[in-house]
Amino acid sequence: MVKQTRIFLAICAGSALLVGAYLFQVKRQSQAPAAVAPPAGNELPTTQVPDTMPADSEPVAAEPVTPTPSAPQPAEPRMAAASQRIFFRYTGVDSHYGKVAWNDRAHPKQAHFVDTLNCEVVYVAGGHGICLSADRGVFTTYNASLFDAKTFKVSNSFPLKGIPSRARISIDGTLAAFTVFVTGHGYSTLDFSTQSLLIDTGTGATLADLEDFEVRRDGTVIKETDFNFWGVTFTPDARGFFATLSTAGQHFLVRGDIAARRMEIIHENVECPSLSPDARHVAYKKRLKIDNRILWQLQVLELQSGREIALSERRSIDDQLEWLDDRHVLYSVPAAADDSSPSTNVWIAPIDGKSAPRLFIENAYSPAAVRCKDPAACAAAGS
Amino acid sequence: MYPLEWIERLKLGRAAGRPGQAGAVSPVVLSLGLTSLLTDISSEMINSLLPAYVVLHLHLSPMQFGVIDGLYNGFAIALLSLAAGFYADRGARQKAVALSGYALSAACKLLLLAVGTTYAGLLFVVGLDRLGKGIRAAPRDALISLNTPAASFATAFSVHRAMDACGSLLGPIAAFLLLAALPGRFDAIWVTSFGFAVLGVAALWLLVPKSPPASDSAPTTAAPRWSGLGSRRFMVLAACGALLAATSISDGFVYLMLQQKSATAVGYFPLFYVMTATGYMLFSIPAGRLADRTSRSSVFVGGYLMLIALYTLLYWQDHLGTGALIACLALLGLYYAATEGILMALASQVIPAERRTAGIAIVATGVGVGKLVSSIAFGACWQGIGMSNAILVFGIAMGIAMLVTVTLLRSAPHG
Repeated sequence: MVKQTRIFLAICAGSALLVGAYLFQVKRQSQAPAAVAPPAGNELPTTQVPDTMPADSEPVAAEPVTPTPSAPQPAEPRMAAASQRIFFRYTGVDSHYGKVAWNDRAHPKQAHFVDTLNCEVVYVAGGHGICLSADRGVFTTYNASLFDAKTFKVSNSFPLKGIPSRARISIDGTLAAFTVFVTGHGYSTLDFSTQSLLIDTGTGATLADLEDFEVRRDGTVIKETDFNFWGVTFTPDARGFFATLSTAGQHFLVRGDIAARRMEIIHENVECPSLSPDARHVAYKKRLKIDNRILWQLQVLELQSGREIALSERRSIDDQLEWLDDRHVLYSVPAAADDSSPSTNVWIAPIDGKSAPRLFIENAYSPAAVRCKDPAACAAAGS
Repeated sequence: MYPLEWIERLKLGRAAGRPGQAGAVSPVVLSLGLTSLLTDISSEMINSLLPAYVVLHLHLSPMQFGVIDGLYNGFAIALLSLAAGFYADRGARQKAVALSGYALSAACKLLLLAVGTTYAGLLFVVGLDRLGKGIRAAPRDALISLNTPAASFATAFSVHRAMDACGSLLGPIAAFLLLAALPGRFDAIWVTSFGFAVLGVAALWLLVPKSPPASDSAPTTAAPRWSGLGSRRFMVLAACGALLAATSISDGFVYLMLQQKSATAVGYFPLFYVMTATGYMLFSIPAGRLADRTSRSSVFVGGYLMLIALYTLLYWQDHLGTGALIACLALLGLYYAATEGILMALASQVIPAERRTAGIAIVATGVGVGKLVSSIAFGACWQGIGMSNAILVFGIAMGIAMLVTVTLLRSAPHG
């Protein structure tokens, strides 16, 4: 017994020594700024960019090394976009993973990183940004931060009730909305629920929880305990919104009036709606059940006529679409079909339902094409 | 009065320091506790890092995922642990079987270095880790009881469970500290986790003696497989354990209700797990000693009374302050301390040594199936009749289950 104890203590000492040596090696590696080693076992491209990049100074061109020679070129948009910025969450597996980044429409391959903002979901509009973040630690907590789109200074921060899912800001920058999966309705239980809140970007105050709004269907008020709301998109006047209401396995498109605290069911089988800048179309994912698996087909609904157009994207997409302009939508797709990579790419598809989708930004998630209500102000902010 | 106990005391004279005296814990139990502590540090380091949105990436709703995960994995692991139990009893291979379960989990950590940070890889490795857990749990519990005089069963199990809970508390903290010092270097976590897992295996291999004494002399390998598992009290324990598990509300739902009823809880959901585990760790040994000195079945039933008290609080209180919240979590910790290890002690008392592993695996599987049923039933109740009514239904069902348990345990005394 004594002998065994001695062997055990020897193994303890040996393991401690080996693990300690490995950790020491890792520490030394990570202190050398030039050699940012990617985590073991990934085959994804790395970027060679300086570690620190002051966001508000002259942006340095930080070009991700792309493995594919065919540079993703955006389909030709109809609208003139002098210096439109696209914000996104960078998902390349390197030291910038999860950071907010942006590029210029004119130079889509040049990513600029905002190293102070680490987000799961990000959105920017009207000079305001919202970042939903996860602080992983002994207890993973989730937070929302409102930030200035030019200085990237955080003005307000508050805790979230669960795992970040979607975020939007109204085009005038006054209102923000987000959806989280409420923790505890996790996969071990047979229930899951979402919380969607409307936020005043100026004060960070919660204006409303969509669950408190009155819901009408064909004029009559309905109310069920299993109501879940997600995927808010604001109307251009920031007085109304569209969202998904799910109840009893069905998913409805609702149009909401913020002042009246009321919404009305206007269409069926619509998830994560996104209203076009001209407010004529709603782009969304349509739920299909094939072989007991849920798949989502991207669709566009013409609000006036109620006509549905299926986009030419053949993959199942789980994302809230973003409008690049009135004719093109952006969405993110996992880089590996089997989810073996944490990276995602942003694709672009025209809404005609005919032309094929194209790769738009590599290693990106949660795209936000910045546009302003006042084009003059937009140009000033973008330059 | 109870011949089995007498035989075991005789046989275990060597292993236990002071045979027959309640409260004596064999060094073997401490070694098994050390194994579990080290292995739990290793496993929880990785579990605490698992991104919750893995579920979202699988394109399955959490509900679908829960059902599929519960039925497929739970069912497969239950079958495997029963098979491992029967196999371990033949020729007293508990240590070898437990060792293979722990070694599988350790190998998983090494595998993580190979598959890296991909989600699919993480999920696969966590699945394998759970498989290892299914294999090793029953042989380990059998080793605890086989190396302990019957008078100290509850104390032995409680000491082991306290050490186990301690490991699951230390794991996330270790992972957090490592990631704080070395941001983004997950390989450092995998390597450290592997180190702890190897130590766990080494502790079992070197510090736990090979063959439990009971099966050396008895040529029982030829006896029918189910012999010794047919005693009335054993069946009562297995059935009541499953019944009580089926009427208790799963932790996930309890935490969810606590979160909805307390304003302080926003965002600190995982703290509930930590506080429950802390309560379990602190109350485990006192509960075990009390059970050995007074009555194990009383402490076991008392544990469920704690749960009834918790449900009463949840049912009557619309809003819980910080104090009430901590009280609720303490009740949950007390419940675990008074029931989980004690049930194994109660079962060990009536399973002959040569069928110990299989018997323990049957009781544990019954509890596991009960929990799965409760989870599905409570989810359905909540959606159908609302939270308060669901608590009421489960509270009443638990009261009935407790009455049944007390009656049956009285009618089926030892032997």
